Amino acid sequence: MTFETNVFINCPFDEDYKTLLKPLLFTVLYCGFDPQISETLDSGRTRVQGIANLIEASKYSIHDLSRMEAAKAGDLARFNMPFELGLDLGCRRFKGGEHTDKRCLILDKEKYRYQKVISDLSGNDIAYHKEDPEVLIREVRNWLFHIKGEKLTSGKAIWNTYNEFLDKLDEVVREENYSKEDLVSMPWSEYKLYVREWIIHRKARK
Amino acid sequence: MESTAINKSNLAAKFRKSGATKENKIHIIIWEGKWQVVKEGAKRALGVYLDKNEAKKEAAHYLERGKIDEVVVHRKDGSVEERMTLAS
Repeated sequence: MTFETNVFINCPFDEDYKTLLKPLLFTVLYCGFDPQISETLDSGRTRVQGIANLIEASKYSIHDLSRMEAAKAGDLARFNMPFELGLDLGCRRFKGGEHTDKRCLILDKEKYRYQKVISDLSGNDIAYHKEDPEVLIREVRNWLFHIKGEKLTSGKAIWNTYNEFLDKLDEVVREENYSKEDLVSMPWSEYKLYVREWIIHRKARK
Repeated sequence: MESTAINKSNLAAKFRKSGATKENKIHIIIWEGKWQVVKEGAKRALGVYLDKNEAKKEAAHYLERGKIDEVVVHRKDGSVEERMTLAS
C-alpha cells in the first residue's frame, strides 16, 4: 500500500450498489491507483478502527453519499457514508504532514440533494452519477485525470473495456464452475486481484 | 485454506492470459442511451443504434459471414445478457 496511490472508497456494500461499486473499482485500478475498501479481516477489531486506518493510509478518497436515505418508508436513513466523509476531512484538517495534501471526490446521485441534509457541504463541488455506471466511470476518470495531470484513456474507452472484462469474468467463472453465490459473495480484494491482473495484460496487448 | 490460495492463483493466471488474448468477438454495449456494435479491442464502433435489436442484427451479419466467432450482448450495467454464436 502506497499513500500516494491509495484511494479510500467510502460507499455502501449492499447488493444493489454492486452495479456501481464494480465499475468504480475497475476505473480506479485502470487509471493506475489502488482502491482501499473496508473488508472484515479480524472480527476482534472494531470496524471503525479499520476504516480510520484506511483513511490514514490513503492520499485520495471517493465518498458516495447516494445511499444516505432510508431503503424504504419507515426505515431509518443510513449515516455511515457521511460519518466516514467527516473522518476523512478531519484527518486532512487535523493530522498534519502529508495528510494536508489529501484530496477527495464526493459523489451523490442527483444535484443539490446533499445540501438538504449536509448543508455544511454547500460550498463544495460534488459530482453526480445518476446511479448510472457509465456516468460514474466518466466522473471518476475525470477526477483522476485532474490528479494525474496527464493523458488518460477516455471514459467511453474505459466503459467499453469494463464491459469486455465482465465478459471474461463471466467466461472464467463458468469454466471454473463457480456458483452464482460464489460470484455474488466474492471478496472485493479477490475481485481487485483479478481486475488488476487482467488490466495489466490488456493494456500490454497490441 | 491452501486450496483457496491455489485456486486464487490459478484464477489470477487465467485472467492474465485472458487480458493478453484478443478474441474475435463483437460486443454490443450501451453508451449515452445508444447501442454500440464494437469489435473487441477496436477504438471505433462498427455501428451505433437506438434500438438494441438493430444492433444485434448488424452484429449477426458479421457472425453469419464468418467475420467473427461470437457476439456478446451486454446489459445496461455491463454484465453479459446473451452470447450469440453460429452454433446457437
